[in-house]
Amino acid sequence: MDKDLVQIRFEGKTLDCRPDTTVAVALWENGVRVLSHSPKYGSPRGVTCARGQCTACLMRVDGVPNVRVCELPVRGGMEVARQDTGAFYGPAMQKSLSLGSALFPVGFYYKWFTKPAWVSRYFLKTIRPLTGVGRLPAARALPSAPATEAATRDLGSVETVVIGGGPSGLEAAARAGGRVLVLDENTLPGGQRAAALQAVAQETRGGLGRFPVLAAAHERLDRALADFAAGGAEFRPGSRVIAGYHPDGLLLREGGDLLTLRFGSVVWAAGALDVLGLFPGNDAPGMIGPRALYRMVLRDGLDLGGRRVIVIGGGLDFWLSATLLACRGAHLSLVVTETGWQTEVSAAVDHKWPLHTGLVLAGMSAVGGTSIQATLAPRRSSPGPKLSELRMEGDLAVICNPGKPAYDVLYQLGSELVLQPERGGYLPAGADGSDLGGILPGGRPFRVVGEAAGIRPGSPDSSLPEVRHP
Amino acid sequence: MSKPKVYLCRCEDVTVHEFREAYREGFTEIESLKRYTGVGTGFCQGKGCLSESAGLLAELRGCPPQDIRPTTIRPPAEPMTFAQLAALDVPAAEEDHP
Repeated sequence: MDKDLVQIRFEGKTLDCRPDTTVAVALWENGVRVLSHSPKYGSPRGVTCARGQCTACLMRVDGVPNVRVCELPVRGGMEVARQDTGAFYGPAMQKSLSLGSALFPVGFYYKWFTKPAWVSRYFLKTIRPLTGVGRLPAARALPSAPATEAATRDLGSVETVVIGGGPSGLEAAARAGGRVLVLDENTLPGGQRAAALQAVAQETRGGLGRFPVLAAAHERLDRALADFAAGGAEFRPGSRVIAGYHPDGLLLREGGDLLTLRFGSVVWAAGALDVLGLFPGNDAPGMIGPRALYRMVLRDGLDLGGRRVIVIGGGLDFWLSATLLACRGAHLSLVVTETGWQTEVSAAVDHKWPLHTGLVLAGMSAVGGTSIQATLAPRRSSPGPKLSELRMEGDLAVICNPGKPAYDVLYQLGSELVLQPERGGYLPAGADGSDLGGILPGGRPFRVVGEAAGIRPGSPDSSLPEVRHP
Repeated sequence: MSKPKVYLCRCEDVTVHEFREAYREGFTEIESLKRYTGVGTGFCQGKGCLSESAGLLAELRGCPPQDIRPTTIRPPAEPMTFAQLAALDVPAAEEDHP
């Protein structure tokens, strides 16, 4: 195994990494958990979304700043560095910076010190590293203008495009007629949980029966995959829709390629995003959502054997994360913050997994450079004896909150959005928790299904154990 | 170390406290709060904070959540390089769209 390792350079050190992973996971396994510091308060940040969608993992790679290392494959000899000055941010420096901040109004960095040109050059060179935006790329690192050879490719048009290849998207595709194309960013159909569900089903050798919520999700996935395979729909792997053009155009990114596509009707099945929640320390490095966990463990091969992992929350993702981590040999601490789930709780107790109930997450903080500490407070409505506050330390914390429905591209195609906090955020107008649809302003029909429609998997909607959110 | 902050927008480091203060100073619309505090203007363009800020605003105003319209969500949905943008060959968008 060792002979297959590759070396990368990180801030003057040489690190051994598996070649088939991402830079973020390679750094994590090498004990580097802080990838950046936040722009205003210099707060340490670690890998968070593992999907190239947040700011936490922007690093300088081979001289190019602002590279999302959570999706960047490891390559031998690459040079990786944090963009800020790291040690520059100590509590003392932070304090003196905030004392001086009154002298610097918001936006001073693009109003002041811009003329003459040499002042601007010197200013940018100084201020960028301080704010964590990174130094300007070295001229040699800039790619030569690819504009002419990288022209957009047109995929033509399809009768129905399904955006999202999870169970809901596959079910919709199997029902639709005509030329149907399913777009998904993963390499295989089944959605964000598919690999995790299949791994857990295989590694527990049929042990999912103890966890009805997992058994039901796995059964639904199998059925959706079989129906999809039997139908005539086409699946486009590794395809991410990055823009909707009114009235019927989509822009896709597949690796470095950009493609355009036109559609007759659209099914929005883009699922949901991880939600960490609003609590003190909600940016501490070492805290991720379940979707990021599935990507890091199954896509990037993150090895959590022997690591202490705290799993907090409820729902399908809580039980899937817990079982996956148990299968992979992590030392678990489980905190079920929802009531209900009696069958799953007894199964966890039978497995001797340390499990707490009646608590809610009250805060998170980073401990040293590599650990994270969760503060858990008793839930007010909890019956029985009064519990006291509890602190837990781990290498990683997985927060399993109800997800936030994705909406961006559907909005760009003209759909109205209505805020429905009880269903996770903004939803297309008319969303009432059932599958919904309508006509886009350009006359194209649309439907919204699954988590993108605010339907939480493993919730009472799919006749699974009763769950109430606190 | 001071008490850990509750971040509303992680990209631009906007805390819940700052958002409430801005509301108290008279920025009571989601659009003006976005411009004043910078919430939702960062790398992720509001994926992490738009519905959270809108929910918090509804709470501060004491109005039903559906009264808070979203800010404009412009393409692309993820950052692209200027080289990629320059190479784009897509039909012009029609004008009546937000």
